[in-house]
Amino acid sequence: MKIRGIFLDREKNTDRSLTIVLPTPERVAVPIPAGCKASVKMGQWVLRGNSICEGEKAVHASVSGKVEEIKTIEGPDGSYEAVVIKADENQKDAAVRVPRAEDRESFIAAVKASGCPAGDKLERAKDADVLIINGIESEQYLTAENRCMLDDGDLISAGIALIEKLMGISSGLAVTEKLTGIEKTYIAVASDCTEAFAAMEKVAAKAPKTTVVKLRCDHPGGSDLMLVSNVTDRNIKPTETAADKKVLVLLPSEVAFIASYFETGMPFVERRVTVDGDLVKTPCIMKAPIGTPLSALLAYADANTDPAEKLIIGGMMTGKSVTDLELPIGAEDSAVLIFMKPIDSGKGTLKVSEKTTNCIKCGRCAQACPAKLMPMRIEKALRKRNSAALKRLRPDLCIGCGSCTYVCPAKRELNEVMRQAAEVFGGMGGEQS
Amino acid sequence: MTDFRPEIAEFKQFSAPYIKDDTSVSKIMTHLLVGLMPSLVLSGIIFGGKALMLTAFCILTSMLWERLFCLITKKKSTIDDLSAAVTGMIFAFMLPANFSFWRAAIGTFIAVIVFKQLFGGLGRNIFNPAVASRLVCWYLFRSNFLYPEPDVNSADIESIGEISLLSGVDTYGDMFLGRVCGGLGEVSVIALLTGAFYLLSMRVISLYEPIAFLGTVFCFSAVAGKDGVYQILAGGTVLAAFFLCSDYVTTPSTTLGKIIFGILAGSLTCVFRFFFRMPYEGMLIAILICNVLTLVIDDLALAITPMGNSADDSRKKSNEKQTR
Repeated sequence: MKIRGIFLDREKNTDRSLTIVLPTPERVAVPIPAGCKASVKMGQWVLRGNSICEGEKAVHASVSGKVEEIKTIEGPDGSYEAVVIKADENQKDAAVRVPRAEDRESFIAAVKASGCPAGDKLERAKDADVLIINGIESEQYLTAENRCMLDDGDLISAGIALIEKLMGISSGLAVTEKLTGIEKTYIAVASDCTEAFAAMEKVAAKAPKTTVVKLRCDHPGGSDLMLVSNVTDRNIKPTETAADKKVLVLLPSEVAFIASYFETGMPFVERRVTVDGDLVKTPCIMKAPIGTPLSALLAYADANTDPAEKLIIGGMMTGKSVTDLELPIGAEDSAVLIFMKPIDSGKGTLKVSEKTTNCIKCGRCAQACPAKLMPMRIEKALRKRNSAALKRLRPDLCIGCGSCTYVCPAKRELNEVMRQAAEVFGGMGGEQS
Repeated sequence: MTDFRPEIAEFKQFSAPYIKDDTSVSKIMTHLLVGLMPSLVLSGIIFGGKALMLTAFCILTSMLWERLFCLITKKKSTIDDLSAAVTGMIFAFMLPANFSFWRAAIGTFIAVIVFKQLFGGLGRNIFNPAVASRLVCWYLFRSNFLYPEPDVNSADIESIGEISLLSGVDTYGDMFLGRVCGGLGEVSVIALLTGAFYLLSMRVISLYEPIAFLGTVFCFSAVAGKDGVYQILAGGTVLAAFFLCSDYVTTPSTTLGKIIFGILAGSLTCVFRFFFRMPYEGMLIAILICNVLTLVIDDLALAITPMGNSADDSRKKSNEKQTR
């Protein structure tokens, strides 16, 4: 059964702009994931591509230079450590080893060692028989994946071939167990991205098991829930991830990166970032080293940060709102958006009115919800602390796409309510079990 | 022009999403007003200027009552959500064209103050204010509900000054166009359908309730041995189907609930019309009863289609426990 989402304004200023390589920023702060420790010391010199982290996750220096300090940064999702590297004048790449993979296990280990988020996805969905390349960017302003599909067609086809080949070979399994491997690859492209569709058609022509599917450009079209049910017709429940349904979902940039990694051996040190917003004079897509501070990105895009009020890492619907311009971009952040303070509520580019009225029970939030929840009933149950009703309404199934808040005519912050309700629900479940 | 924007960035924490659809309660209410406009125009043609003046008076007084209530209770004015205007307009549509103004003002007072604001304002009202007030007015000023002859009358059939449901002699064509006695806005089916088509195309109302309601009325009448089409065309059934049964606040919000609501309201309407001989107020009572049952219907619909297949999840959880 197809799951429908809501249509957003496809307001993409940068869908025609080319990728600009950001000049090496003065200093970068490469985030270290929680549970890992930096393996470099203060004052040490590192080259671009050197490993700077010890632990199960791999992090690499994204510029070459001197490690200035290892500081703790207060991010939107809590504090984390970051290695601050002051870039030197002549950027040098580390002597990297081109990875080799013979089978599935070594392939996943190699991708994980590169520091790319795709490693974890491969690990989770290692038994997958379908690969979906998620080229749908349903949220406003995001164009990095679109640009990647236009630019890196060759890399994507090489990456698909690599994944299809290596995910089917396993040394760890007994001979009697048959490994299916990737049987089919789908490239999902939003129906209005015609150029990307044409580029992907070329990719599919080279790969025998690959088809390009055009999907409605509704939000949240790129979520596991909607991709799996709309592309593969597998019946997925909101509690399940794509990996549970034996579907491997990767972004085009990740596929392209895997191909380039196995060609050159340069680990995951840079990514495409869309810089946009009404304060940005030249909205653009930049290839920036991971850990570049937001201020450097915004400065290069001629952004006037003085009258700013909203600073968002990620898309308009699910991104993170941050307050510090010096925060670094992480490995999974695809956009930096900055918006000015509107002169009046309801005016300005975003037209967000702060006036909240009573719920008029129009049921639009329930219609918009891809997980088929009823946010207005959940809100009521949460306000009345009605735990029996909360248990029946299942706020834990929320995938956090923000559609309910977007469509609400009474301008209620339903997404926030759902998050709180899920917490309360989780607390209730904990008490029982 | 002086720009009062701050010179230093003041970043604030927001919760996602950071952008919202360009819709609001007042926009929905404006759509409803536009959807009611064709009927207003035809009522002006059929009953003359007094119909227009009565409608305008009802709209103005309802907004006035709302404003006064907000002033007295020191609430923030909710007049700009335009729900009072919609209530006043629908209330006027169910009145005879020569209804006296002061009685109409009392009617809008009952609608806006008693049945909406005293319940807690728009969104908290249990009854549809226009319907409830019209019913109260019917019992208060029963003798004043004398439906006038339409100015534009059918030449070949002599009208007898009774509403179509009572007389039972009006032709389908007359009722479709509205050349019959009745409430000033509810007689013309074609105008109501035009407005309903506008609302449907703007996605303001859904088809579930109207279809369930009209279908039930038709089937019930056919079973009871009455003329189904006549029952639909007469007595403001179409107004009820498209504008009263699809009111957001007082009807269920689940799809299944909407269908149940429509079927229940339709059958109750027929029961009151056929067996209790209430051609004037039967439908209104039926809708009000269903308004009360809205929460029950929604819960019933939720019980039939549970959220996110909880049965499967519990099975999965028990499986997980076993594997552990």
